[in-house]
Amino acid sequence: MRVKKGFLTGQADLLSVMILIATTIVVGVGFLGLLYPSVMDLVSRSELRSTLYNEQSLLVLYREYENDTQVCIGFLRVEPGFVAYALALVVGGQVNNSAISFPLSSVTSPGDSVVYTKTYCLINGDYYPCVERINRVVYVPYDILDNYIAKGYPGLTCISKSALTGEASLRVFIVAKGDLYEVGRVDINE
Amino acid sequence: MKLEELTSMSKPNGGRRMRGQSEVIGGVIVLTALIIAMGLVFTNLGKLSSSSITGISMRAAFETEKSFEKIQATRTSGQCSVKNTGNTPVTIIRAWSNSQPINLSKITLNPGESQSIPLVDFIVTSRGNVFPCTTQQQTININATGPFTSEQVLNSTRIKNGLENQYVYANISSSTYAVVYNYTNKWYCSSLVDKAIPLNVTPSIADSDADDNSVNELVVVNANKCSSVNSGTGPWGDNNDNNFKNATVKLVLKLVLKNVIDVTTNETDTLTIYFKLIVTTEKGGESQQLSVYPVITLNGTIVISSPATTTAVGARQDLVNIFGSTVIPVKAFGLNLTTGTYDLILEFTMSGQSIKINSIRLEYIAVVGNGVVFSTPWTK
Repeated sequence: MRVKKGFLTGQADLLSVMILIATTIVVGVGFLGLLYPSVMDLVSRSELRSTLYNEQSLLVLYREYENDTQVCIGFLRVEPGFVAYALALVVGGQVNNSAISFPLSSVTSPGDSVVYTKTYCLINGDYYPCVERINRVVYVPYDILDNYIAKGYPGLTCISKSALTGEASLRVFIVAKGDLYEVGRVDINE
Repeated sequence: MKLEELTSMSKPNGGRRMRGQSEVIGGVIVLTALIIAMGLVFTNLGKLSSSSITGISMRAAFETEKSFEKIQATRTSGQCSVKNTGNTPVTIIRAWSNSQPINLSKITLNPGESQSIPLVDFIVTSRGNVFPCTTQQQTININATGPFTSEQVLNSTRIKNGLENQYVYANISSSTYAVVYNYTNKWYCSSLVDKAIPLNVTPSIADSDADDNSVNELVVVNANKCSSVNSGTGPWGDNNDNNFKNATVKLVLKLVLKNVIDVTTNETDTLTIYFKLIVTTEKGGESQQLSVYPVITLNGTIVISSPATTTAVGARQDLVNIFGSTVIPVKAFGLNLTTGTYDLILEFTMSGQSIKINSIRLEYIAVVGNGVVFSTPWTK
C-alpha cells in the first residue's frame, strides 16, 4: 500500500510538470507570435529600404542630348534587369507628363497613368511622402525595358522644352510594396 | 542511494524542486523564442546590408569603367571614323544625327580598334558616354614616352644635313648668332640671313661631337652671317664671346629653327618635344653652378609656348648634358594647329655662378605628334 501511494504521488507530480511545460510552451509560442509581426515588419522595412538604396545605386541618369527644342535623358541600370521604371516630370511643383516622349520606342508618346498609391520622394537621402502632388506617372514602355534596360544598355527619354516653364526635374520611380518610390532625379534646368 | 532518499523525492518538498525546474524550462523557451526572433532580424539585416554594398560597389566599378572610356571620333570623307583610344572595351549603342537618335547594331571596339560608321553628330556608348564626331580629335594622346637616346634619334629624327635650305640661328642678349654643324666631315653654317651653306674653312670649334657619342651637334657661334665664318674673319668662334665666357648673370639663348615643323593635318591634339642640349665649360677652377630653364615655342599661325622639364647629367667635368622634354596638349588649350609650317624656338634661360661656358650645342630635337613632321630635308 505504501508503494501504491508513492506511485500515485509521482503521477501527480509528472502531470503538474507536464501542465507547466505545456503552459510555458503556449506562453512561449504566444510570446513569439507577439514578437513575430514586429520582427517581420522590421525586416520588411529594412528589405524595402535596402531594395530602394540598391536601385538608387544601380540607376544611372545622364544628359545625352540637348538642342533648342528638347533635352534627352539617358537612363540605364548598371546590373541588367527588368525593372519597371515610372517617370514624372515635375515643373514648378506640378506634374506635366505630356512633354515626355520615348524616341526609341514604338510608343513615342505614352499616356500617363493615374497614381492610386502613395508616392515617396527622396529628401536628404531619406524617404518622405512627396511634397509635390505626384498623381500621374509615365511608365517606361515595355520595348525600352526589354531592348535596353534588361540588357544593361541605356534607354532614352526626351522632354520637350516648350513645357519647361519653371524649375523642372524628371523623377524616376519604382513600385515597391504597392507604393511608388523615387530612385533617381535629374534637374532639367541646369 | 538509500530507500529513504528515494521516497523523499515523492514528498511535497521534492515537488517544489520540480516546479522550479519548469520555470527554468519556461525561461529557456522564452529565451529560445527571443533568440529565434533576434536571429531572424540579424540574418535579414546582414543579407540586406550585403546586397546594398554590392549595389554600391557595382556602381563604383561602373563609374570607373565609364571614366576610362575614350573614343576618338573623327569626320573623314562622309564617314565618322571611331577609334577606341582608351584601355577598356567600348560598345557603341547609338548615334545622333540631325537631332534624331539612331539605333546602331552594337559595335564593340577593343582598345586600339577602330571602325567607320555613317556620318553622325554624336555617338553614345553603352555606359552612357557621349562623344561628338568632329573634324578634330577630342582625346589627348601622348604618342611617345620617355626621353630619346641619341642612338634612337640616329634612326629617326636627328639633325642631319637638314641645315640645307633652312634658316637656323640663335639670339643671345639681342645679338644674333649663327649655328654651325659638321656633317660628313664638312662644316655647314646657318644664320638669320643665310640658309645652311657649306663652309670653306674649318671653324675654330674643332670638336663637332663634344660628348663623343658619334652624333654631331649644332653649335652656336658668334657670327650673324655665315659669310663671316666662311672668310674666317671676326670673333665667330665660341671662345671669344663675353656672353659665353662669364655667365654669372642670366644668359638667354634663343635658338630659332625657321619653318622647321610641317603640320600636315589640323587634327593635332598633342605635341611632344624632346631635346638634348650640351653645355661645355672651362675645365678646372672653382666649382661652377648652372641652372637651365627651357621654354619651347611653336610659332606659326598660332603661337604655343610651354616650359620643358629637364634632367642634367654631368658626363665630364667640363660638360653637362641637359635632356629636356615638354608635352603641349594643343586641344586641351582649345587651340587648333592649322596645317602649314611653323618655327620651333627653344629658349634657354641659363644662370649660374662662376660659370665659364665654352659652347652651347644642340644634339637633337625630336617633335612627336599626330600629323607633325620635320619639314624636309630635316627628315633625310
